[in-house]
Amino acid sequence: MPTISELLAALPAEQDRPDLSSLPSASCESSFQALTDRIAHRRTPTGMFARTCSVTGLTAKLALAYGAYWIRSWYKTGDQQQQDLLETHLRSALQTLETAGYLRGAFAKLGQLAVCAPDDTLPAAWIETMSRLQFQAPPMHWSLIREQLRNEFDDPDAIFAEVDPTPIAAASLGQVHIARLVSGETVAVKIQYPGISRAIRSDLRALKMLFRPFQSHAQWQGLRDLFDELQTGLEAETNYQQEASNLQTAKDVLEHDEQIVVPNVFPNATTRRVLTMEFLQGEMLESFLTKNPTQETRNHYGRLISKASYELYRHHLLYTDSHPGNYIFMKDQRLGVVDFGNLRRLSEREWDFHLAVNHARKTNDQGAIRQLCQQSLLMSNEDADRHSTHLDVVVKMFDLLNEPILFEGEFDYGDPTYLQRGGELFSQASKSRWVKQIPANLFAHRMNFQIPAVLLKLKCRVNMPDLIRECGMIR
Amino acid sequence: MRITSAEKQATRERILKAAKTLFKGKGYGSTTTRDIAKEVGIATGTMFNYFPSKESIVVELVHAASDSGSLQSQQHGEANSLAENLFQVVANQLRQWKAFRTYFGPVIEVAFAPPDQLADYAKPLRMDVSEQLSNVLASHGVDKPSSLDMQVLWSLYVGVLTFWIADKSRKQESTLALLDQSTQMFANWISSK
Ligand SMILES: Nc1ncnc2c1ncn2[C@@H]1O[C@H](COP(=O)(O)OP(=O)(O)O)[C@@H](O)[C@H]1O
Ligand SMILES: [Mg+2]
Repeated sequence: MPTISELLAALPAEQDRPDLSSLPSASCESSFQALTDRIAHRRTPTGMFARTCSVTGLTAKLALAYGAYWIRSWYKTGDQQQQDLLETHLRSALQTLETAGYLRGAFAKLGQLAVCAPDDTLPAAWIETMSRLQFQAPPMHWSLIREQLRNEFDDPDAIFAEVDPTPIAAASLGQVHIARLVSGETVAVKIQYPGISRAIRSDLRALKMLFRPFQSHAQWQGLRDLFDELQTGLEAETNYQQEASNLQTAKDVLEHDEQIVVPNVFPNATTRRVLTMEFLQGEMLESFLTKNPTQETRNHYGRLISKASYELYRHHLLYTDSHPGNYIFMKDQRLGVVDFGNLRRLSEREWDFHLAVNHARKTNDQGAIRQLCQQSLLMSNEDADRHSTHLDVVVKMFDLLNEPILFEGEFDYGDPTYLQRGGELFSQASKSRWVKQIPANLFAHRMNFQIPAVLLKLKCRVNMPDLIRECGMIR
Repeated sequence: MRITSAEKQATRERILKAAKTLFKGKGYGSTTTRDIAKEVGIATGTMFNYFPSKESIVVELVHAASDSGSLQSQQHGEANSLAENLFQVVANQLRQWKAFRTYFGPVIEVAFAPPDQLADYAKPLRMDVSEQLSNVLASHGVDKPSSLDMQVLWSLYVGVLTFWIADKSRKQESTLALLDQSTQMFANWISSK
């Protein structure tokens, strides 16, 4: 994604640019000519290098200072003064980042990475801020939407009879509009901000370069695997054609339950940048809650939410986007589920691992559970001894995640202490120096804590063992 | 033998048509004026009576393609912000000029040069573009933009066009993003005063 700063970077350097303010107005045009001459003969930087420059350009000193400090403190802990200095730098770096549109996404993901960061001096605030940063495409006005549709379809008028110019929702990479197809159906159209996938790719490359200093570290490989996993996930998310096929996959799995609705896709109105699906009419969680639904209704929806992700899981699929906005509370007590950009299929090997975990849980084999947690962290026995506190925390996290499943009866997701305990374990885990883990973990964690977070908002109770028995055990 | 103006006009059109085909087929760079003359079946010298240079042919092609552009941009009344209206006008132009994108460089050089250096043949295109941009400004109450305002606008405008020529992104979508950001930036610049 070109930015103005990149374009400006293609202009001559500050000192050899004519001082505009001192020029008599008549000569303005010719000094401008000098500028354009130069742009015309310089390649406009759009590639990785330029992008990295724009990252580092904004935050170079801060990021480097931080990086240098980080590497040094890898081996010894800094004194208080250094620590303070670092935090000051960090704060201003973060402020800069917060205004740096496209980078936010990548840094949000970095936040998840940082959760398993290698350095115990990493300030908790860093992790917190990073993980709260959200990827947010700039809003698009109607003319841009129309232009993007023209870009994507030879003749958009032959497909869309009408598109409502006011968006119904923001999407992380664009926005969603209601439209009517020429064939008559009312649809939700998710339209991507132009060029954003390229921007994400170069942001990621830039981030990777910032990670270079860690290359020599023993745990670099683990860090890189996680990074690659993030990259694959993000890239899949920018391809709406991929999301369309995920929607179909999810639909096939969930279709047999008429109370769970996954929108139909309209393939001839869908491209990599535009996703056209059946519009699911209903309410979002927030407005649903303002109507004071009965406990029974809450439980019903809580059950459907749990069921949707459990059914997918049974089919080796991780629904990693369990965000309140992605559930639609529809008429007749039906639940709409949207947003499958991140649906992740577990590989055979990963699934085998999950089976082993499942078995250990069912038989309540504590030794096996610890062994499997150790495996998921890619720890040798020696590592496990050296980093036993971290392993303890991970085992506790595992137990916590399984509480609702092992609880005979209705588990009360409305009790906030459940997630609080999860949060405490997370922050303990983040202080560890251990980075490695199997990449699928990252997604599993996200899913495992996101769903309880939605269920907490819903203040519902769900009988998980019942649900699992009903859906069918995992074999 | 006298050549009627109708005949002259017909030859002009044939030259333009031949040039467009050749530029598309052989590329702008490797098409010579002689190639064009040969294709039309006239002497190279005769062709110079119609068009003084290869650049002038492109400029004419671009201008011809933008006629409907000025009509279409009339619709910009429906958009409401300055940024959006500017976006609309330029996006329209880019769409109309798409066929010439890869050899648009010479057009920028000759048609967006300072007024005193403009070749006569480039003036109609330049005036059209200026008028379109000024109309948008005027419709947002900016009747008398300062020369600095205009310089900022032209810098951004030419910047976007220059970027567009070399844009390798899918369907030049990066240019749309740049145009969006540039028009927002200009609108902020105007409103911050
Ligand atoms: N088919 C649909 N019907 C109704 N609302 C939808 C539909 N698809 C998306 N939405 C709304 O738009 C929001 C953003 O869409 P989503 O697919 O989650 O985008 P992203 O994951 O790219 O941010 C959703 O949270 C939901 O509120
Ligand atoms: Mg979403």
